[in-house]
Order: sequence, then C-alpha cells, then structure tokens
Amino acid sequence: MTHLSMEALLSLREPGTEPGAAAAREHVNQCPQCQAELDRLHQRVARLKSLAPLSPSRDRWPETAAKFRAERRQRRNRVAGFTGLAAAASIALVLSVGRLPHPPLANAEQLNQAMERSRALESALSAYNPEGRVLDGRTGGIAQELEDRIARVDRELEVAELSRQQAPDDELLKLWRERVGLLDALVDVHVTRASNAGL
Amino acid sequence: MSRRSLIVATLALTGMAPWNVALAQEPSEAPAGEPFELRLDRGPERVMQFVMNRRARLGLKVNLRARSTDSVGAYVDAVTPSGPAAKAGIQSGDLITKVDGKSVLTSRPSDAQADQQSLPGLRLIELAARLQPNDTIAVEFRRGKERKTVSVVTADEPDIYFQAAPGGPGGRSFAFRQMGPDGPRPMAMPFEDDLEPHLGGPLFLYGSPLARLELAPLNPDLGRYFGATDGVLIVSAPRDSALGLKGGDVVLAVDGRKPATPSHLLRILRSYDKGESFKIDVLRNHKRETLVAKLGEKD
Repeated sequence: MTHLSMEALLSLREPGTEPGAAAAREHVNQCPQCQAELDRLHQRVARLKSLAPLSPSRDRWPETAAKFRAERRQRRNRVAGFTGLAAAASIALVLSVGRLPHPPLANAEQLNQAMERSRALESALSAYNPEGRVLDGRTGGIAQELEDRIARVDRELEVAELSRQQAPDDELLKLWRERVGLLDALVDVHVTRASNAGL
Repeated sequence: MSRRSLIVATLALTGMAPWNVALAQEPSEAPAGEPFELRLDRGPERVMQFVMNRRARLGLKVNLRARSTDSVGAYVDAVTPSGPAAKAGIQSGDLITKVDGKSVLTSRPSDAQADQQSLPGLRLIELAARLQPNDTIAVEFRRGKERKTVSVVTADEPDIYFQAAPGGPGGRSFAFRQMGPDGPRPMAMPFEDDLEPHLGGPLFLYGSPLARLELAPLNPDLGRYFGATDGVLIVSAPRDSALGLKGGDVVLAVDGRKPATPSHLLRILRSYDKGESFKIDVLRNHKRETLVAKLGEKD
C-alpha cells in the first residue's frame, strides 16, 4: 500500500480545498499508519501553538518584520494550508528548548548523554544521506534554517567551553541540548517527508 | 572603542569573559603581512580572540578539555550538518592531526595544560583562524587505526549570539556580526514587548521562495540519460515561476556558481533577492541554454 505524502496529509486540514482530499480522507480512514501520522501532525501543531514567541536579534528585525508583513498579506489571499506550520513545529520546539527550565545543576553524566545523543543523530543523518535524495524547496528551506542554527550553536559551544571558568556546565548543557533538539528536528524533517512520500 | 575593547566589554556583559582577557594588554593581531604566531603558552584567552575574530569556519566543534587522545590529535566533538567538514567526510569522534599541512600537536608547556584544556584542540582553533571563506585546505585525521586526508572548503562564519548572564539586564542577549574592516559589533536584542505579538521564527517559512521546486541529485544513471556529468536535476518547477526552469532541466551553474547538490542549488538561489536578475546555465533537451532568471512574487 502506498501511504499518503506529507502534502496529501496536510491537505486534510481543510477538507475539500485541495484536489483529491476526499480520496486522501478515505485512505486515512483505512490506513492505521497514515492515521497515526496525521495524529502526530495535529499534536505538533498543538505544541507549536503553546510555545512562547521567539526573539530574533535586532539586526535582523527589519528584515524579519518586512517578511512577516508581506507574508501575512499573502496568506490572507490564499487558502492557508498548514504545511509550514507542521514542519516548522519541529524547529519551534527545539528553539524553545533554551527557554525551558532545565535542572539547576548539570553534571558530567548529563553532559555526556547529550553529547552522545548528538553523535548518534549525526550518524543517523549521515546514514540517511539527504544530499543524495530528491529534495523539495519547502523541505530544503526548513532543513537549511536548522543547519544554520546548528552552526551558530556550534560556535557558541566553542566560546562557552573556552570561557568555562566563568560559564558553568549548565550553560554547556543547555547548548548541547539545543543542538540535540535541532538535530532531532533536522532528521525528522528529512525522514518524515521521505517516508511519507515513498521516496 | 577598539574591536578588542568591544569584545571584552561584551563578553564581560554576558558574564563569559575570562578575567585575564579583560586585563591582558597583549595586542590581538599580528603585524600586517606576518602570519599568526602560535602562542599557546598564553592560554585559551588568546584563542578566544581568534574565535571572536575569525571569518571562516570548518564546520566542526572540537573538544577543548584535556583527554587521553590529545597525544594523537584534536578530538572532534561534533560536526555541523552540511558544513564544510561534513561534506568532506569528517565525523564526530575523528582525531584531527593536521590542518593545512600543520600539525595540531605541540610539546610546548602552556597555561592551558594547567587549566586542563586540550592543547591540540586549542591549536586547531588557532590554525583555523588563519583561514578565509572558500579556502581549500587539506585536513588529516585518524578514525580508529585508519589515517585519512580530505580537502575541506571553508565557509563563512555564522553570526553568534550570547545569552545574557542570569540576572542580566532584562534577559537581553547580545549578537556579534562580522562587519568587515570594522570588526564585530555588539547588537542589543529588543525587549519582548518590542516585538509584534505572536511573531515566531518559523513563520517566515510560509510560502518561502523556491518552496515549489523539486530537485534531485544527478547520479551516474541520470547523468547518462540527461547527457550531463555534473549539475542538479529539476524534477518539477512551477509554470508561473520567474525562474524559467522546467522539469527535466539540469542546472549546471548559476552566475558561474556550480551546484553540487540540490541543497547547494537551493542555497545559491536563496542568496538572491526577489526581483534580482541572474543567469542560470542549464541543459535542456541535451542542449546548453542560458536562462535569465529572477525570483518573482510567486517563487
């Protein structure tokens, strides 16, 4: 059985607005895997809605605000799918990690666990080899946003470790956890789309 | 205020500045035309200056705590996905022994040793600080008993953000940007109430340019079919796009930049603003064509 693509699943958000939505709905009713995937997407949206807003730096604010306003105008004039929302939920979740309360005292074991998890996710991503696969622009855009954020976290980690006498292990742990969250989302973005599109 | 003063002041504000950085009187740069002098005996604070000033990145996080493998090389803690090191095949756990022909090992005593810091890790950072974006360098490393040498093409260093120390001014953060000859500049974050309600980072991904493109890498079989050895295959492209691309096109270059992978092509295309014209060299029906393209409203 061919499972529904991510786009087909997302079209069910507003039944009847996308061609083939009725057939997709019928498939979902009969397919436990697609039903489970749809449930997962709904959960992501719910988690996204519960997040605090992010705070971009001021140097990017004019650009971000202009994009936001332009895109808000566009959204008013078209049927709003929730493709971006669901896929971006992963990003929002991990970006919020830094704001979530962490245990006050980090220890070496927690740090090692986070680093080990980071290595495992890197390995999974490498084995999946996203560079060798078909890529759509939407997925690629989200993946690149995540990669850029990981690059920044890696630099912050370097600085934090150099100034470790002043930066407590809590700071390192927070950064490593943020890295793990971003990597997790990156793997999720690539693998979820491919598994659902049957690529 | 000098660049060095800015760095120290901002690090102090974020609570991350080692005190000896703030008090040191050492000039932060080598005289023009001379290479960096590797002075690990000055400890990690000098390396911090390199980190803050460098322009290129290798795309890896090297271990900076002393460990048993320091006699072999610098241990790679993490590799940035799709970064220069990842593209070259370097993985977490590898031990880097040479960068650009220079060993990361040093036998000189250093304050770093007393501070339980990794000398090869610090040395690698210092070596990497000499690099410029798009430099191609050889990196030697060990993976288990295997020795490898790969070519790494460096990339631009990303902006860096610091969270204010607990109890800092209103939870503000500070960001550094590489600003060319004037050096990095601290930027204050706006307070929460300056922001439009409900603005989230992911929102700009809605309808982002190029979202409707579908791309594929050109493996040898596809390459034979389309008559190309390099490039990225367009699987589908929207008809109303100002890019002018069609399914079956093989993109060979964009303004002379050759895309190696679909992701790379997306990054190249994303570097243009809407309405900005550029040229795309494609193979279409086995014939080479040059398209004059731009990112339109519908891209």
